[in-house]
Amino acid sequence: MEESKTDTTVNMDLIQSWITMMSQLFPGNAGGAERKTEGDARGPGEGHGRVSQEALLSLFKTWGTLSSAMSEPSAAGTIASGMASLPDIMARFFQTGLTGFLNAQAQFTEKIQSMGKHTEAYRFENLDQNGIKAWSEFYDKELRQYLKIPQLGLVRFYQERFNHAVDRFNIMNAKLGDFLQILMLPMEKSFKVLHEKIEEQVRGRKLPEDPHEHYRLWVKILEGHYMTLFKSPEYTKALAETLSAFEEFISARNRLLTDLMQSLPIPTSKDLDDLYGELYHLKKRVRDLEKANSELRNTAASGG
Amino acid sequence: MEETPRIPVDMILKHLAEDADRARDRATKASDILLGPLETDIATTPYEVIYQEDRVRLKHYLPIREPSEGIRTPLLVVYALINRETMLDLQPERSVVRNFLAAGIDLYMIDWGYPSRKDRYLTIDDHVNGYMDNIVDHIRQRCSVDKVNLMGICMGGTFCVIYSALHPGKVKNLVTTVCPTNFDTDQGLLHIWMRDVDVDKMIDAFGNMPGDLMNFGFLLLNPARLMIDKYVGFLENMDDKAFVENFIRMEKWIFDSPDVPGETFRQFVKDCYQKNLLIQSRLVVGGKRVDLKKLTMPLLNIYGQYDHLVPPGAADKLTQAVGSTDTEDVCLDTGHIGIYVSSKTQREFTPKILQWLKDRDTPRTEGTLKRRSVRKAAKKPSKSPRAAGTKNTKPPKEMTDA
Repeated sequence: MEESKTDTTVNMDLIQSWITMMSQLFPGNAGGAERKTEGDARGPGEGHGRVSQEALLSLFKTWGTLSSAMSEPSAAGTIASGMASLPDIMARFFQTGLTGFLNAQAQFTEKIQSMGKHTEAYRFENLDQNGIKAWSEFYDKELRQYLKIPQLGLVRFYQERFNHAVDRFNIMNAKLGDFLQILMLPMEKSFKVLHEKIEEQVRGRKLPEDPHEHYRLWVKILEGHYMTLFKSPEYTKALAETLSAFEEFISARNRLLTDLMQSLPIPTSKDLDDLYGELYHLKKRVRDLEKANSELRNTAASGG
Repeated sequence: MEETPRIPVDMILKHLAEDADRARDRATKASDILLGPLETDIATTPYEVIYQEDRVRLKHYLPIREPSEGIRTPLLVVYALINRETMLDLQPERSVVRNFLAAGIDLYMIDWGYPSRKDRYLTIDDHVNGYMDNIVDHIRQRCSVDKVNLMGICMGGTFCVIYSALHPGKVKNLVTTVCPTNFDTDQGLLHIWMRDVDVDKMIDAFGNMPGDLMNFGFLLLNPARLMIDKYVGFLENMDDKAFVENFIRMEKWIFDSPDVPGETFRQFVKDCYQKNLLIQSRLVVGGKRVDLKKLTMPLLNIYGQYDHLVPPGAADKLTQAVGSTDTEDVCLDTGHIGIYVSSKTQREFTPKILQWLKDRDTPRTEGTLKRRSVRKAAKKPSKSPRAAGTKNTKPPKEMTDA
């Protein structure tokens, strides 16, 4: 207790002498500073530097006033007691920061660990079939949320559009993967059927002499499989979804490019589209007017 | 005792060895051919551009003989907005254009050009009542005729049907070829797929419908033939210069795909593919209803039995829906492109059109008019193995070309 009191006194003396020194460092008091500013401002050739100089002097004035106020014994006491509690404040501040950081890290680790829990584990016998599906689910449930974090501040709209374009790009790739996988199914099936046919031929000892026959047979089987696939609702749905994902990516990309283009001295696609739209309507109006005019002339010429 | 047939392993090995020899010879010859000069130009028949509006040009083919005695009315050919009209003039020996010129037809053709982003707002109305109508007026004025003969191809045929219903006074005879008018059919994959397409989202994203994307869709209609077998066929024949030249001409044409103006594509998909308004005379273009009963001029409707883009079910309802009493359906034993480029079909296709036009272009007597007013029964399509339900039959060669 005694030791603490001595510390406080030492601190108070130290601070008081430092504050006094600082306030003496700046000439006079607030009024003195003001007078000097006025005198300088009246001087020739100082016009262009006036604003920054005034700002600097204003800062000095503020500091001078504060220093004078703080050099009062009562104020110095308050500061000294504040200084005594500074380590506590710093410790609390640091502790809060560290706890927050550790929490965030734990949350992140937890998220990383939970990745894959939503998606079914690979079955290695169907690795190629499940791979794209697993990635789509993984992206949808685990990664996508990070691109959806609300953005703040001046550039939030730009950042949002960037995130949206990245999101649409990933979705398009996932859908395209699905679609290509469906498109490859007839290939796989046709090889299987061809194998069965050849086995049949071997069993029946009717293997054709010309190896091209096998190619022709395979193309026929493949064509048949494709025709069946293309008429299926699953294929139509996959096609529509892929196209839709592609179109959404193109739209998102265009919006992003418009943002980038706006900073350059060239017109964006949107600007041009607006202009083309106006031109189109104007040309149409001119054509209609010309037509009407010509009809009127014809009527007048025929004496009607 | 019956002898078990043996597997001809010796023959199989012999064929494989022969194949290997042939492949080696072919590769040697092919390198000479591919590295040497090749005649692969398309659309070489001379023409002059006599009218231009924005990107749209009107080609007038220079006559190669005296005008036909039988057909004096100029013929305007309207191609689709998908791919290019050069398909009608792929090579001198397989050219619908040359066949028409050889018959003395005064031939005009619309070249729709390459739509750019500024064309995205153009609608069907702008194409039909704008460009087409201006072109027809230009030809009428130039040739001092009241009416022209109109021939439409695929989507261009649909435009011609709309035009003829809206401007019947300017069309003397109408020929539609592989022309979709009934979109409510399950015969073609395109018709099935288009039902689920969100065309609004598509056009909002792309502006115009990208030609490459459409081409990819067309390839997906039959990947086994169009993405595999076709190129295997090329590898097997690449030591044949004429084959290589024809193949490259076709490749040049097929992947020359202009974009389709966005609003036109939107309306075509929504009103035609999804609502099927045209055949019901409920389509509205430029604020006017397209009433097919007002299509009263003679109509010849040609389509392909194996057409996978415009199947017979999409083309054969037109003659029943129009107001004309002089109609004829002709179903040819071929596919969508084969109808114009297959040498076999060339022997039927152009002569049929020429004769049909000639019959209707010569000065008529009352008697002939009456005789023509009887609706002709459509030629019954030959029963194809596919139509009969036999699975996995090989389509005709033209289909692989298509």
